[in-house]
Amino acid sequence: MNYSTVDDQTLIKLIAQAMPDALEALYQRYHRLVFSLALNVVFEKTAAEEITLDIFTKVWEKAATYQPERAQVKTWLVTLTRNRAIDWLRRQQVRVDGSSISWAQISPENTPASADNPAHATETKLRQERIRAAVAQLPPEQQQVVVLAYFKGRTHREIAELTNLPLGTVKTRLRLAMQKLHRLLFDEHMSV
Amino acid sequence: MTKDLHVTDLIPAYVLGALDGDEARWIAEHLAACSVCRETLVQYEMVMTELAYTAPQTEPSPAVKQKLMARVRAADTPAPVPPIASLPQNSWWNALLTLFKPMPRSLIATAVVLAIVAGVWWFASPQKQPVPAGQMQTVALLGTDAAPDAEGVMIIGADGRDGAVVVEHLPPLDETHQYQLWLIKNGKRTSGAVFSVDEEGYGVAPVRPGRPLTDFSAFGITIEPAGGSPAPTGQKVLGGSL
Repeated sequence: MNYSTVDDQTLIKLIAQAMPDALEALYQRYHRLVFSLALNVVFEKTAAEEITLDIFTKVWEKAATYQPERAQVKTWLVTLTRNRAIDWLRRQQVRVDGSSISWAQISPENTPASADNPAHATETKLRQERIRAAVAQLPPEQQQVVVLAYFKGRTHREIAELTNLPLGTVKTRLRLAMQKLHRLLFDEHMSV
Repeated sequence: MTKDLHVTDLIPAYVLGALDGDEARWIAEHLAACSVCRETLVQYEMVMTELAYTAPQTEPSPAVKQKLMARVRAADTPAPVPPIASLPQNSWWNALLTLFKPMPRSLIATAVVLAIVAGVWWFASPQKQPVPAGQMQTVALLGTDAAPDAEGVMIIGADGRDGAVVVEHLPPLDETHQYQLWLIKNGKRTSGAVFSVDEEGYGVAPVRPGRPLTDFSAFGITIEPAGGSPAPTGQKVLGGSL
């Protein structure tokens, strides 16, 4: 059965009906995204693979609880992955040097292309180029706080301590960065 | 912490998990009651999703997929079986819509027709060939005199093991009765699912008998006491053969 034309939400409904083939199709579609995100949070391949396995197992177990009106499937997966990976970081009590962290460390340019689904690979590449172009338009100080929050799971207060910045400055930079990213990515006006 | 009516300023940080515990809980409580801020939340969750693509996309080892599929196919892995009432109506319509394009007026009718056509062709073939492995199968379920307007389809997954039953135009039953699917082989009937239908006679249930569905030669649905019976006791309403 070719699931390539089945949309994400239908796949989740099929998974909720205990169809392993549907889970396999969802895995094929998003395993790279999940694993790569986990790897760029924990920086350890074995841990990132365990997290990937856990995330898709959770999808299998919790598919019936997914609410399509609440978020896209991809957002659900990214949220689960990021939270799980940051939990791992916190349990490991990984030390972060806030002064040296940058987006370049998180996102080296080389991106292996997928061989199994060229259309999906192309879409992924376009998404990557788009988000990287948006991030590149952020001032370095805004990029720094976004990296610490997104990939290291730091709170405002923790970022302020790591970077020796006032708490208010950190809050402002993070808010402005996310607002700018939203404008650049979705070209919509956000009221504040 | 803002005293404004809305908390949109804090939502980007909330999405990233950058708020302290008390602040995050306060925002969560506010979001439960504020549709405007929930919409803002959705917007920033989209940004959060896109940020995941800044990570270079690399492959985990093949063992991850092997372990995952071994887990979900293992007998002791609980599979999600939502109550029928929690399934949105037409969920399987949407699934069937995607699987059987173009969309006809009645999806089940088309599935029935396709199954009948396939069955007639197969029956008439001079040399009967088994359905190629790895392909999803459907079996039309036709209404009996007890439910002449009823229609249904058994869907058997590509691995031949699991599947689902989808029915339409079956009369809703009172709370002391339910419909029960029977899997038939050599005259012996094994229970496949017990389910109810909604007020429009639509129902769907997963079928996981613990052995390949392709082992069975026929399927039937009867009216039984709520919770099911060890063997058929009530009227047969739908039936079909593999």
